[in-house]
Amino acid sequence: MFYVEKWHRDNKKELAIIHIGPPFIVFLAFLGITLWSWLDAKNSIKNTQNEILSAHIHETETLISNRLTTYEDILRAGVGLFDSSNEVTREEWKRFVDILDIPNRYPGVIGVGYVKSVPASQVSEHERTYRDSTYPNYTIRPKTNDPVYLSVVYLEPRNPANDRAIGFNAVSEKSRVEALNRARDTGSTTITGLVTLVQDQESNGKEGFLMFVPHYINHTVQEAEADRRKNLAGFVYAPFRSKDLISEITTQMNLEGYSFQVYSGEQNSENLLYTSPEYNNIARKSSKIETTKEIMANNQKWIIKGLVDTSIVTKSDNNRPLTILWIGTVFSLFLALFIYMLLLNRTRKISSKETEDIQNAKDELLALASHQLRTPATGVKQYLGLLREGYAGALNRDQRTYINKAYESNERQLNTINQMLFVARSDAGKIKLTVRRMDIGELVKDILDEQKSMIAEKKHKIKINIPDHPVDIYGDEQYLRMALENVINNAIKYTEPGGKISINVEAAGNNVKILIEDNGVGVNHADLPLLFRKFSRIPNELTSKVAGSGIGLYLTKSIIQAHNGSVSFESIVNTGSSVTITLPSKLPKETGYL
Amino acid sequence: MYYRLYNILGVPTLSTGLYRKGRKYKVSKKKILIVEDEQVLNEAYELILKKEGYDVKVAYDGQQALDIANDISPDLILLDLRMPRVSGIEFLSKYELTKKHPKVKVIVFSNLDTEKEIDQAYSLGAHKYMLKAWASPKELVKLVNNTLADS
Repeated sequence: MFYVEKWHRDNKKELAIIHIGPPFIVFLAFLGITLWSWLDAKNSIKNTQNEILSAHIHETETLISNRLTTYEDILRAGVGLFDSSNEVTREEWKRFVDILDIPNRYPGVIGVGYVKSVPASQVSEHERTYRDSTYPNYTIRPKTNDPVYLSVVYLEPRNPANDRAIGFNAVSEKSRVEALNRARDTGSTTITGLVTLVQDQESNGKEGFLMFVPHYINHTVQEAEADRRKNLAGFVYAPFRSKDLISEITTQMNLEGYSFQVYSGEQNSENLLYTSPEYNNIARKSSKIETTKEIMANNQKWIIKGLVDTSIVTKSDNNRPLTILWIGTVFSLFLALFIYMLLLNRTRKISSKETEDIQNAKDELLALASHQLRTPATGVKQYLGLLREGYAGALNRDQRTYINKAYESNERQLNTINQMLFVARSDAGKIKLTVRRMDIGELVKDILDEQKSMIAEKKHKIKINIPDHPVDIYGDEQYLRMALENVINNAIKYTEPGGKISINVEAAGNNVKILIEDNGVGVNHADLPLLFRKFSRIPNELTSKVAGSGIGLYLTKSIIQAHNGSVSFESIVNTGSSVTITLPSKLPKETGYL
Repeated sequence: MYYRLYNILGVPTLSTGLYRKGRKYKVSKKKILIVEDEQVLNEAYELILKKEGYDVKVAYDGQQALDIANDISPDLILLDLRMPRVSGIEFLSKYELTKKHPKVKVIVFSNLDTEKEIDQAYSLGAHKYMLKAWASPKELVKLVNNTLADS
């Protein structure tokens, strides 16, 4: 029965090769892609926001211009009425406007009226003509120095506010004149800038505008500007309160996150026609974008200034860029980490494979070299052994001495080969112990028998105390022989001739104790730490006379420790040394390490 | 085989050449086969073991060893590993020690002491694995005697 314990020290150094390059590049690349996607997402959201804003503005514009067109159509219908008859009476005009059903069908229109062109010279006659039961006090006012007056003669439906406009001389007010002249000269419908309506004069604010459609006499379309001026009869017109109008026009709009202002002419507070309800709230926010758009509203420049609150209009998408940035960064990191681990793992595998290959090649070389070195020495040993052991007859004293010296010398060589091999292997963690039950007492006797001639030569007195019964332990006989041989050999070598050496083997509980004492040169206390070190020889009186490689005790300690045993050493210079080797007598569960 | 029969029965059997050859030897003489390619060593071992009173046969490689072992059924084989033609390990696997020759004891006697060879030798049924360089003539004798004495 034998036990084979594999005992393998894994002394492969942890590979510290860091492959940071490729994962770093991957990380940067993916981070780049992430940043690009982030910017792209941000841009696309910005574009979406801009698109939403333009769509809103476009809708606003469409609603406004559609409504203005409708109103223009009404006014044109009025011009048609004037054009189709020689004279339109107040009563006829009233009927016309009543039919339009303005309050219900055209909300936002204050009224529809007629402004008549009256040469200054005919004012009195004109006033007389237009004084009737309805407006008995009809008077053009205020009177100006202009050659032609433009007087509001009709305005329906009737109400006190509209009544105030009757007789109003439009020439008296700058922006009205400007618009009327433009309408007259171009022949197209024209809107005034922001004006104070006659109806609203009490409130003193500029809150309205007027729309004029020119009417020429002679029922003709006037081609030339001069003709138009000459033939101007008057204007069909409508006054509007801008706030009421635009608010009414845009009631149906979805105003979530959107707000706008409308200016007439240049964009300043003087010209502000309308501000939508949430405008100031949105304008205060940092998360807003704005844009303006110019439109031509019946010969008059209007500006629509739109705002959208980006935190509302793209609510669901606003977090996307940041999400992309986060996920992308984390993903890049993970990917880089993954690649790093992969590379590291692979490198480890490759290099551990390489190390293994190198180690195997080294082992093979070592095995071969030791085999080749041992074989001739084995031959020498056998034949010297034959002579020494009397196979060729008895030897005389000199012959015996010479052969012994040759034999010892050869033994040293074999030992050195063994030791070198052992150290090389143990350093590589590749020592295999073949553990079997064995009698340690027998082994010690055997070793002493081997050394007999040397002991005799040095005339040492040996005291051996080994029990008669077997002292069994579990161990590798060859290695233990090596270990014990070293210690016993040291005792013999480092003791002056005629010394005393005692060797004691005893079973003590679960251990076996081997005590080797001598009264030799001993070791200095200071040198004790060097004792078990590889290739260290401690100088003493006998060092020069004694052959040695300095590896013996290192080996002994390694071997005993591999058997889960221990070695202790005590010494007094010039008095002696004692080595105690303790080995477990039970089967070791695990072998030790070197 | 005849020798074996003779050994077991303790009486002479058929009068064949082999039988007669077997009679020449003392019944107690154990047969040892030395397998060693190094001639110097082979001769030394033969000399030592013959002197010890064993019936010694020698082979210089694994193939020769197989032929002789099949022929004479040795009690013990002293087996080197590194040999030309058929190596010691190959010999062990071809000889089928555990299956066909459980009573034959094999001491692997080599100067190789690598883990691989030791493992292989033991798993193929070798009884002992010894370093050649370790054994002096005396120790060789002791090793062989002890191994044969082990039951």
